Amino acid sequence: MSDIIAFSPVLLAAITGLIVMVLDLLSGKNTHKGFLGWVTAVGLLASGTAACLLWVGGREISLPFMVGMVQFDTYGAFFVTLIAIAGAASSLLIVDHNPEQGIHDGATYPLVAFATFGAMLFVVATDMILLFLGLEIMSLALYVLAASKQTSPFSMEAGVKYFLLGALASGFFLFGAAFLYGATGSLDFVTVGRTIQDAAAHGSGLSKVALVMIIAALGFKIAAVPFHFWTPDVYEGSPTPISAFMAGVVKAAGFAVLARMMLTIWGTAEFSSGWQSPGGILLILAVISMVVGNIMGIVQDNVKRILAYSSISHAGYILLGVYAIGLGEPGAVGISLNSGVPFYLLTYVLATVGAFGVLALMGGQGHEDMSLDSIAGLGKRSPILALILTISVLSLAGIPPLLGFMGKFVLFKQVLLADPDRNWVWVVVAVLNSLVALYYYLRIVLYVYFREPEGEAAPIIKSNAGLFAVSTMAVLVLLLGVFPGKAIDASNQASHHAVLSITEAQAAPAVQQESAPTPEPKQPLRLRQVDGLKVDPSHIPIIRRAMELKLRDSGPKPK
Amino acid sequence: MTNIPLSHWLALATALFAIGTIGVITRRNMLIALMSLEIMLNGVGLAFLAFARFRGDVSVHAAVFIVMAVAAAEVAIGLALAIAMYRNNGSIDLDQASRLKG
Repeated sequence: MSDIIAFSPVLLAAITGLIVMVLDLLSGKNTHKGFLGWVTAVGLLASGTAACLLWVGGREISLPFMVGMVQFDTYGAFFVTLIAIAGAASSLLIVDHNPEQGIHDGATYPLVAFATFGAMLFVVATDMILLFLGLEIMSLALYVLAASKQTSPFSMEAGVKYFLLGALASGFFLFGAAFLYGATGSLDFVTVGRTIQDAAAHGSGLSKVALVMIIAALGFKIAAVPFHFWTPDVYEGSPTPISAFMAGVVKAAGFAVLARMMLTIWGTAEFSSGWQSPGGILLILAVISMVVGNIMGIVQDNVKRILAYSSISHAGYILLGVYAIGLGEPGAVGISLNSGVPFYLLTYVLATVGAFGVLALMGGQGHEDMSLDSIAGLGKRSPILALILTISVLSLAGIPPLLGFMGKFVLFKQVLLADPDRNWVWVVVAVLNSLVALYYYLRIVLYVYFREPEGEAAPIIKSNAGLFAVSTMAVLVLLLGVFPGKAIDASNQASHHAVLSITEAQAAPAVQQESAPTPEPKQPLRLRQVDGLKVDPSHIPIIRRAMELKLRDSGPKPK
Repeated sequence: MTNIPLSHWLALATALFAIGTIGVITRRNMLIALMSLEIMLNGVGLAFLAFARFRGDVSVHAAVFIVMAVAAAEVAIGLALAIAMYRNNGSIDLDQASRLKG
């Protein structure tokens, strides 16, 4: 029962999807489906609230459950909440956007809910197969959502590109998981990490191949250079609320998993000790993501593409944070996630969903082109949307009173503190990059307030739901920017649980063992007859031990 | 059968995976790209099975079934996208899906 309570935030998102699907069928063909967007948003927010309640309720929620395949702790709670907020905002944006764009919207809400469910499962899973299932539930729904404007060749193309590269990334992830299994004999992060960090397996070729494969796969999801080629095309071609969802939810979930996997499996004290260490790959990706993202962002003329390159460069900043682990923090492994990373993701997700959200509210009458010219003069046509867009992009740029500035400040400070002698170079690179990025963010503001549209201006959609979503994002960006204390505390707590602690996970089965001794298997284990496999006699005690452990793990759980 | 060493299985699995990856990246026909995707995932399944056999651990066979099920779902979506592409473009040539650039 406590399993279900601890899993309830994730389950609520799936239940929301089912309810919305049934409501869509019951409500008939010709009704306006907008209310489904509200139902989805309420359901997802309920899921986020459940995550917060589990967190502040003081419950011990950091124990593994569901046969040890899921761990819902403060780290999971932080990201589940963030994902729920971004998912709810996207579903509210769809309410009036889709009818204006001629997209059948009844089917989109359940898909958004299921994609959010997949992202949550992705974040809380600690077993590689369950993680893969979460990844696929999220991705499969998004392939369809990206192509959901069936009449538009752009949307179709976005769907096809996202599908091919996403499927490639899934394949890479699985190949990496297979090799990790081969190197360690387990699919569980903690066990894999413990085996890899033993001297024997550390240098093994299998685990190095797996490292590269998994970084490549997650690099696709977080849009880090050189795995970023799909990002601008897909963000531009997809319906804008879906772009908001991808830029917010997928990136947050991808980073949550990347940080946890990297640090749990390869996280030794030498993690960030230069190019040769596992973290070195992250450092290289971080630097080229920042530079390429910002330089390409300068030459774009389409606002959605500018925001896409902005999201690539933000991936660079966050990767730098993942690279610069904290040493000597509490926890058995002696390392912890840089506490600036969850906070930075919070600042990024709120601002980017707000910015894409305003663009989604400018797609009236089937208008697809989001060039800088078509948003010119927004300040006169809709002062509120113009203000929200300005707040969002200035927060992404990191202008002081806004949340984005606090995010950059905390992240860069933590990176510097992690290793002052070496990391100051990378902090300088990151700060210089933020200055370069200012150019294209200010360009958006310039067009909004000081230019008149030369061609056709994007028609504004009158949408209460969408306006509610984007103004909530803007208010959060402003308020948390001025009073960031609580959010920073939350991020600190979350980052303490990011690295799955070995002792903690070991302690849990030990407790169960005392309360209910496992029954002896009735039949002796017949090792020699497993599928005609020849077993080296010297291995039999080891295999027997492994099978006994397996039996104990899969046996009925005491309650 | 039983005497084939692990390295041979892994070489086959890696070759399948590489052929699939190259196919997805280079082939311009959507259907062939989907077939390459299947080859890729089958390579992964073979690698899982080879390791499972080597370790005498049967439980990972479940993972292979999950991979196969997910691969089927993925191809179903891929085919749906191919149909959408054919309706829009009149062909399933991936080179024609190049309107978005910059």
